[in-house]
Amino acid sequence: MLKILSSSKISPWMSGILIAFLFILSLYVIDSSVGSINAYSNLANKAAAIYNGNMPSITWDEMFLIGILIGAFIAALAGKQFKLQLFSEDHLSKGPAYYLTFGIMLNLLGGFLVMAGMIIAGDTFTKMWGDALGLFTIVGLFLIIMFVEAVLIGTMLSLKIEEK
Amino acid sequence: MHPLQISGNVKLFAALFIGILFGFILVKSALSNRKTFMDQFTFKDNSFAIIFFISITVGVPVCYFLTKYGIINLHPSNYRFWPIVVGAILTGIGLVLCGHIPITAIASFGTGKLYSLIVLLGMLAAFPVINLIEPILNDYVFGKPDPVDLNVLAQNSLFFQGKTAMLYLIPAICLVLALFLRLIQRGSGTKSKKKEET
Repeated sequence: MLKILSSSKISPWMSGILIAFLFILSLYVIDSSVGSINAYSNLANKAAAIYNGNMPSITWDEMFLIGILIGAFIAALAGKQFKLQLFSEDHLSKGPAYYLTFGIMLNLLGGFLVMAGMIIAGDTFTKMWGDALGLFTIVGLFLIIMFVEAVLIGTMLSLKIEEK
Repeated sequence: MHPLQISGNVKLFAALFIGILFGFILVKSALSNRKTFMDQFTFKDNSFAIIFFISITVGVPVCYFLTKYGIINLHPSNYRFWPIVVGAILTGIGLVLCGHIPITAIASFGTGKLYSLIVLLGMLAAFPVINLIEPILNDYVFGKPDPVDLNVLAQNSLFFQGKTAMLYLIPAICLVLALFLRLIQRGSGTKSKKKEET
């Protein structure tokens, strides 16, 4: 246990098993799937309420997201991986003209498209991952389209970079 | 047996605890790194796919037996064919651009990567924009009739259709795929591992 806490990385095999059991644990303890789109939707609405000076109550699915933030912080501190970074390393390597303008735009647009896609699809990737454990066929369709497309675009972009 | 029926502050605390465990594993498995997703799409590092396939391999049989004995209940969302197709296309493009899904962006922010906050802001901005264009989406995406009634399958899932062969076949296929991806991963030998450690 201490070894897992202090190690910088655990194997993908162990991670896969742990994630599967966490999904199942959430279904047993909370009797709901975690990471659903409602949590993010509520966050967006409540951010507006806080901006207007109101203090909204917090629900369990928002608490789950706060838990992720805390868990990530603890893991980074325990593994001595915590490091404040303003820009990602792959953007930094392309120079200030890139990471100060284009890099920020790509992050913003990427985040927007990811969430827009999930809103249209019906739920988040995390929720679909949890549903995939129940062998829901339509979730498989989402994952296959998304993955194949991302591989195609990713490969084309990497080939373009190698050519340069 | 049935799922725990907790509510109020106990449920809040339970959700927080499960969230902490999730966040911890996301960081320790490097899923919170933007690079893990980016390298997956070019097959330089297959960690993400291996994690996904192994979770299916282990999770599907366990989930099936727990569901069968009423220990857990599945709560699928209301998915439909065309929204899934359009949504997957948009998500795929976004994923290549930012390298994050919502929970990994939160975990990444927790490890001090401040640029993930911009990704999260982009994600939150999607809600009002989708609300604005909802009438257009209703006409062209949500209102389109499904070619097959996939939702019936989604409600029942392969679990409840008596297709128990799938129960063993799909996890087995996922395990083979995970092993194959590990095999083709560049620098997967012990020598390169030792090199990484030093």
